[in-house]
Parts: sequence; C-alpha cells; structure tokens
Amino acid sequence: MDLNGRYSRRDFVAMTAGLAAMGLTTSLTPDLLHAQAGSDLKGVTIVYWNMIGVQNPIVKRLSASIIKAFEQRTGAKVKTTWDTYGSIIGPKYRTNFVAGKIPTVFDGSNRWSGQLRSFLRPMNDFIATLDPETHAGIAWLLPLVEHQNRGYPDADQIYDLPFTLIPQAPFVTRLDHWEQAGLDFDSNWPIRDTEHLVEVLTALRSVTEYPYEVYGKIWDAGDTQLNGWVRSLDIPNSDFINDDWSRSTCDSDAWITAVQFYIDLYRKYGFSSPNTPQSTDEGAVEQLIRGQKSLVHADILNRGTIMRRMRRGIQDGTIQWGPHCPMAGGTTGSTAFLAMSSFSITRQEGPDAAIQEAAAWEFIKEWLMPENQIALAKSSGLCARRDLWEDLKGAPDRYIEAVTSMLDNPGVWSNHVKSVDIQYNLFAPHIQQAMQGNDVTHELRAYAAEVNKIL
Amino acid sequence: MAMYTQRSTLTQKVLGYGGLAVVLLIVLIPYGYIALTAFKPAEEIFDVRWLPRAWSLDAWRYAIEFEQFHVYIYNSMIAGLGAAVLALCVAVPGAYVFGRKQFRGKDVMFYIIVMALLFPFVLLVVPFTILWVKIGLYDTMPGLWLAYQVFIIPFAIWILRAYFAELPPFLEECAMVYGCTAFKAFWRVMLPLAKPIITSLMFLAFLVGWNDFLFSNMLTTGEGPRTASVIIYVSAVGGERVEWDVLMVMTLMAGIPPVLLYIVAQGQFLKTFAVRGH
Amino acid sequence: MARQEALHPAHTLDISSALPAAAASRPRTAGSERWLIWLFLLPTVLFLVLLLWLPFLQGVWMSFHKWPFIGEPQWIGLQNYRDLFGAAYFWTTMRVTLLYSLSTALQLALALGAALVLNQSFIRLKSVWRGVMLMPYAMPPVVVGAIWMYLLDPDLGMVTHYLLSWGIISKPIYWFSDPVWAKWIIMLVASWTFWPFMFIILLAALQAIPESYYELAEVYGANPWRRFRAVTLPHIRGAMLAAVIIRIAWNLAKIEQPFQLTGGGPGYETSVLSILTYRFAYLSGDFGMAFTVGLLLILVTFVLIAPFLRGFQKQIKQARRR
Repeated sequence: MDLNGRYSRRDFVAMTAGLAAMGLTTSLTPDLLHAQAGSDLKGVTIVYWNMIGVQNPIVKRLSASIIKAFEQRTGAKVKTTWDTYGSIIGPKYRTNFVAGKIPTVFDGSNRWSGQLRSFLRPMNDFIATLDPETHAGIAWLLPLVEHQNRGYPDADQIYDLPFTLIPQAPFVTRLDHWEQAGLDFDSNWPIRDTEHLVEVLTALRSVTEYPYEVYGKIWDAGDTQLNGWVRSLDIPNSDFINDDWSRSTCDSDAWITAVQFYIDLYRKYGFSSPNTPQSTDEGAVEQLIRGQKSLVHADILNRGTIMRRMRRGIQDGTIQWGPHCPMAGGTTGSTAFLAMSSFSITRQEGPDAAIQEAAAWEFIKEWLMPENQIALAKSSGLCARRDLWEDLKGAPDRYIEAVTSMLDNPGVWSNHVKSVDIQYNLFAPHIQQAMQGNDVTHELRAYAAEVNKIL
Repeated sequence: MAMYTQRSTLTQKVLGYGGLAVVLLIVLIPYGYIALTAFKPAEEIFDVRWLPRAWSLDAWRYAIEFEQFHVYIYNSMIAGLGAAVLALCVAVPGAYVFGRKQFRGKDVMFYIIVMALLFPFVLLVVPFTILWVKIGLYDTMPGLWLAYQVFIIPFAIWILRAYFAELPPFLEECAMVYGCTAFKAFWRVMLPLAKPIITSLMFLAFLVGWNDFLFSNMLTTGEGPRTASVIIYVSAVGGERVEWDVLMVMTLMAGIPPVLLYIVAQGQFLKTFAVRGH
Repeated sequence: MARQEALHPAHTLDISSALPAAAASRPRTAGSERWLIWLFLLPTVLFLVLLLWLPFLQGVWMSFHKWPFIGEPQWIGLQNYRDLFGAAYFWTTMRVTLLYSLSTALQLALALGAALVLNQSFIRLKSVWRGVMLMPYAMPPVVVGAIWMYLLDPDLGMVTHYLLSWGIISKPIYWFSDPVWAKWIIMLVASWTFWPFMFIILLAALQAIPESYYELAEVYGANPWRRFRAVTLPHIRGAMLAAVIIRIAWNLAKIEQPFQLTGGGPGYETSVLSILTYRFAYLSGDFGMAFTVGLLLILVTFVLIAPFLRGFQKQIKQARRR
C-alpha cells in the first residue's frame, strides 16, 4: 500500500484473506475486484478522515477493504487520513476546518460534531433516497440524532448518520469465577438491579480481591455505567444538560443518588481497586482476562481485546456479556446511553460540489451495506442497522443479545458545542475528588455551577 | 579525548564502570523489556516474563506489511535532517553575532530569545495551522522543517552563543589583521572551531524533528508527509484501547535509527578532535 | 581561587597561538562588520518575531477577552485573571508545576554522571554506550509515556510484579491514582525520557575541553576532584546553565506526556500549568483563558530560570573578559 491508499492486487488479496480468516466478509467480493467499476463517479476524488476503529488492527483492515470496495464499485478515488479520537476532541479537526483543510466526508462520534456543524451538509435528502430495507434499518436512530441536537434551530436536519453503535455499558463476566464463588449463574443473570449487583459482588469477592471496577479516568468517568444508573432514576435529567440546553442537570437528586452509589462501590463496599480515580474499562477488561477481576462494565469495543487475548474464553462460553442494570427502585426499561459512530459530509462549494457530495453519500452507503454492517458488528461496535441484529445473535458470549436488549429506550448525549468540556474535562476532576473522599453533593453542585457558567 | 593517556587508578575504574552500569540498567531494563514484548503474541502481552513463551512476528507483520511503518521512518528521517540543516543555517550566524559582537539592541535581542524559549508551544498550533494552509506549507516537508524551528532556534542560539562567547577573544581580529574579511573570519576560523558543538546541535535538532508530535500531527494529513511519531500514535495509542504489541514494535523501530546515527556521529566527532590536535 | 586561576591557562587554541600578539590592538567595528552583524541576525530575528512574538502578543491581548474558538472575541478586562486566581485548583496546579520542574535536577544529575563517565579514556566501547544513552529520547515522548503506563500498571505491570515478588512492597502502589505518587511519577517518567537531551550537550562540552588543561592540572598534582572543580566545571558551566534553562522551560511547556499518563488527575493533582492551558484551549475551547494560563506559565518559568539566567550571563561576560 502506498501513501495514498492504493493497493496492489497482491496486498489486496492478502488483506481480504486475512479478514476472511477472522470470519469477516465484506462487500468486497472477487467479482468486484476485476469487474469494470460503475463509471458514474469515475474521476471523482473524495477526501475521507477516518478515526473510528483505527487503533484496532482488525477494524482498520476492514475499513481499508470497505474503502477499496467503494473505489472498485464506483470508480471514485478516496484519499484516506487515518486519525484518532484525540483529533476531534482536541484541536486538530477544529483548527483544520477553520484553516480551510476540510475532508469531503469524515467519521466521528456524533456528540462531538456540534462544534463543526457550520461546516456540514444536512443529509435528509440523501437519506430519503435510501432503499426501503436500509432506511427501515436505521430510521429508528434519526429521532435520537435529532434529540442530541435539540438545542440547534435546525435540529431536524441530520448532519451525522450513525453507522455503528456503542451502548453504554453492558456487564462482562467470567463464568469460572461464579463457579468458584459457588454462585448460580442462571438464576442470577442478568443482574437485576444495583442491590443485586452488590449481592453478587460480595460473593465474588471470595475469588478476587477487587472483583469490580469503578472508572475515574477523565475519558471514562462520565460515559460508562454511571449514566445508565442516572437514567433508570430520572429519564428527563439523565443527560448532562437539560432539555433546552440552559443548565446542568447534575445537581438533581437522581444524579446525586447515582454518583453516591458509584462512589460507594469503591469507598464503602471496596469492590473497586485503589486505582479507581484513574481506572478505565479497557484496563479492567485486561484484568478480567488475567483473572484479577470477575464482573465489570465495559463497552463492546473491548470485545476486540478479549478476542485477541482470550479467544478461547469467548468460544467456550467462559466470557459472558449481560445488559446493564437499573438502580434499585429505578425503572428497568431504560438503563443505557447510546454512543454512536457516525458519518458527516462537509458542505462543498464550486462547480464540483454536487458530484462531490453525491460521491460522499455513495461512500457512506458502502458502510451501510449488510455485509459491511455485519463485519463491523463482529469487530467493532454494534451495527446501526437494526434489521441485521437477529443474524448476529448466537455467539457463545452473547454480546449482541446483551447490548440489543438495552436499546428499547436509550438515552443520548447532547451534541453541544462544549460537549467535551461538559462530559469529560469539567466532570472528571469532580468525580475523582469525590473518589478521594470529598462530599458527592458538594462536588456535583460545584460541577453544575461550572457548566451553568459556560452554557 | 582519544589520545589523553591519563593514569586511571583502580578506584576510578571501579567508579567509572559502576556508574556506567547503573545508567545502562536504568535505560536498558525498560527498553529490553519492551523489545522482548514486541515478540510476544497478543495473549501474552500482560504475562510478566522476559522471554515470550511462543515467539510471534504478528505485530511486526502488521506494522511493516500493512501499516508500511518503514515508509514513515523514512519520512521522519527526512523531517529530522531537514530541520537540522535549516536550524544550522538560521541559528549559527545569529548565535555567532549574538555571542561575539557588540551591537545596539543586544539586550532586547536577549529577551526576545529568552521569551521565545518560554512560550507554551501548545498554543501555537492554531495560528500556525491557519498560516501554513494559507501559504501552502501545510502537508509539505518544508512546512514541517520550518515549524520545528520554533523549538530548535531558541535553544540552538542559546547553546551556540555560550560556546562562541567562550572561545578566546580576538580570534577574528587576528584573522582580519591577516587580511580576512569579517565574513571570512567567521567562515574560516570560527566555524571550524565550533564544529563539535554544531554537530551535537544538529543532532539535537534532528531529534526534535524525529520526536515531534504536536506539529507533525497538526500540519499533515494522510496526503502529506506524516512522520513515524504520528503514525505510532494513530496506529496504537490514540484510541480507546492501546494496541500494545503494535506499539512496542513501532517504538522499537523508531528508537533505533537515531541511536545508530549518534554512534556514527560520535566517530566523526573523535576525528574532529584528532585533527585539531594540540 | 588563586590556584584555580593558575590552572586556567590562557587559551592555547591553535589559531590564537599561531597568530602574533599584534591582534591585541583591536580594530574598530568596520562597516563590513556592521553589515555582517545585521545580515546574520536577520533570519533569527525575523523568525522569532513573526512566528513567536506576534502570536504571543496577540495572546496577551486575547487574555483580556472571552474568546471562543469559532466566534468573535469579546472584551472582558481582567475577568480571566480573576477566574484563574480564584479557582479552587489554582494552588494545587502551582504546587505540582513547581514539583514537576524539579525533574530538571534529576535529568541534570543523570546526564552529568553519564557524560563524565563516558568521557573517561579507560572506558571501552564508548561510542556504543553513548548511543545507548540516547535511547529514551530517541522515541517520541508521547509514546514513551504510554510504555511507562504499561510497565507501571499497578495490577498487571512488570514493575509492580517485581517489587512485590522481591518483597520491597507488600501491596501494589497505585502510581497514577495516588495523589502523592501521581505527581512524582509524571516527574520521574519525564526525567527518564528527557535526560539524554542534556547528556548530548554536556558530553559535547566535555569533549571540547583541550587535554592540555588536564595534563597541566596533573603536573600541579591535582586529584580527580580538584581536576573536576578546576578544569572540567569551569569549561562546562556555560553549557550546563544553557541546558538547565532550556530543560526547565521545556519540561514546563511540553504536555503530551503527563497528559497521556494521568490526564491531569486525580482531581487537579497533576494538572501542571501547561496541561491546564491545553484543557482550556482545546477541551474547553476558551482561548482567552488558555492564554491567561499561558502567560502565568511564562511568568513562573521565567522566575524559575532567572537565577540560572544571571549565572549564564555572568559566565559569558567573564568569558569575554578572559
């Protein structure tokens, strides 16, 4: 592969063979490889910035093959830049956009694109042209996207189209630890609520010193299990900011109760290690694999880690996923927040604008094809197309069953211009201070005051 | 110091080798562990043991065959070398004048340089990116060379100035009495004398380009000259989870060229001193 | 002191000794020389002024504004400064910044020790060892940070494993989440990463000391310690001061590594000023505040390097007089 992402036939066959070995087939079939490409987009070049899954070799290979398939199918050319979360959270995308370095299409998380909204092109007209099957598969997400953007005057315009989903956050556990603890799995799974969780963890403590982990690191404190607990107590106040984006919700009773429990798991019950103020679900999963943890919350991207380090544990059913649980006394039907990876098309100008935008849309459609959606779901997040979920079920670790059962009424986080500041930068220090013993109510009020100041 | 046959006592030797051993251990224990981890299969990454149970080249294959990491090592090489040469052209004349000549505004100049050293670089990336796009330096190698000078020029002038200032006074004047112009005095007399420190500085400048992430990341996309440090971050570190084995392989690959270069440069060094004689 | 002067012979470098004493009559600054001065200074001055000073002055101006990344700045006077000095985390941040700057001392100790040893004639394979010394700084610091997270992982890493199995500690130390250890660990990792920078400078300075000085010192019967005090130290003092000044400034200005290690936490315990700058600029998108912190950072750094700066200036003046 050279720097512009061109492949020789040899690279290409090797790559698809590699994917096939992992049980992933993509839209890239041998017939497409040498068939005359559809020439409608011949000579069109689009610039694509990819950051979702780039740090996972399996997903990156898959992305490269989907890009290649698109080029084969349409005759268009894609100039790809591999990038990272840090670039959209930090200065890179913003600065480049302002400076005029703008890709035609890019992916990201659709709660961080608010800052770039003025550069984007709404996709409603394109979405209306989707074939009925695909449209039906993703239509359920559109109201959620609109809700995320509720503070903007044009909230009904879709600027971000989800293609994979990360429901926050299911449980993952090791069955062998349940056996050692003398706990009956079938009657205790899935975990019913937080009281039940405490009960189970108490039993599991006979196997591991810190069977569970509460996450404190800046990027994990505010987006893993905590939010689902708040949501089970008080749906309207479960996002970080209220309905009209005028103030923080985090000084509400539901937040105080949920955060108090979150901290209690660490400080009062001692289920979580002293590393808590800096711990992450990625780290906890590594420990689960090593047998140092028994039952943790982790987003499904971590399944890639388990696949690489403990494939046998997935195959023989030792590893099991289960849905998130509500707080004791909370509603059961709504315990998840849904993070989404999505595509955006930038507003194009000049004589080529229409064809560029059309090519970008064609490109997005490539990612929504059934075989690509399924391949993504096997290696990355859950696929956006709901119609394909049934086909994915049946893996021995039941991860698809776990996450899909959480999605009847999921919450979504606002795509506010300051969402990174609100959800991570300002939030984490207060949670960490509470983890060090400060009063929860005091910290949440201080945090809410800071957020109210910037809204 | 190749020719200096200093009589070394046993105590000195013991202290010398002992000190060397301590520093080598501080450097090599972590490095060696990383190097061996690069050969562990994914399941063994967190096994605390030095030798892998099963040696694996998977991560190497991924890094070289799929990621084409050697291409980016080459980019880093060019980025570092260019940065070093450019730094030399700008900083040596400036430092020479600053270190040895009297001129009006010298004190102001002093503070201009000191402040440049203190600037929080992280705030510069925004104006730089905007400017670089505007003048066509974005996504180009010369653009990187120029951007690295933000780090290099202030410290290069700083160190060179000290060196020039401490050379014996009146050297140029002597040369000029013998008919050299001011420029020739600099070129024929001062520059050769400063060769060792200039070599070291070029090396430091090279390392700045080699290691830089801030500008290399901000000022390039996949269409431009991305350097190894950016690719390591993008391929292994910058996501939600770290791909440890890939990280170790890439780190190893990125760490070796500068070390070899320094060893070669050191040989060059000794020659310089030998020629100078006494 | 008199002895020290005696051991410091008039410079006997080739050229000055080859030329007759006639040079002592110093010629006036000729017209051609004035040209040379300005021609030589021009690239440096242009570069520094255009690329560093203009954004800097703009930043000073902007610290009096509320300045969102995309949008119009709005004048708010000293509000940013009031907010910063009034913030609950202000003193925490200042304390950790000062502690973090101590990393320079560790770097100097390691670098000086290694450079002195590797400048001894009896050490074999010197150039190889010199190359090895470079390793920590030959890898991108942001990556080195990640690698130390791997090695130091309190539950899975090799450091904890060996400390436990050798009985040095009885339970894991949680380096990154313990408020005291977290501060030290970012400092130690920075020291490990950056000390070769000083090593290169110091070694170059040591290598430039003419052997004749040491020979002369030996003739006078100086022991190794006196030789170090009387010959080595005076000759590397300039380089050492320059290196210390640069490292203090850079240790405080570069953020990738500590941010990677702790994200500035727990709480604000490891949010050194430069991390705070980054957080305001890019996570909060508040450039006015970011520049306010940036200016404070410059001020703090300046105060820290001031004594070295004075020593450095004195050193150079002395050199000029010799």
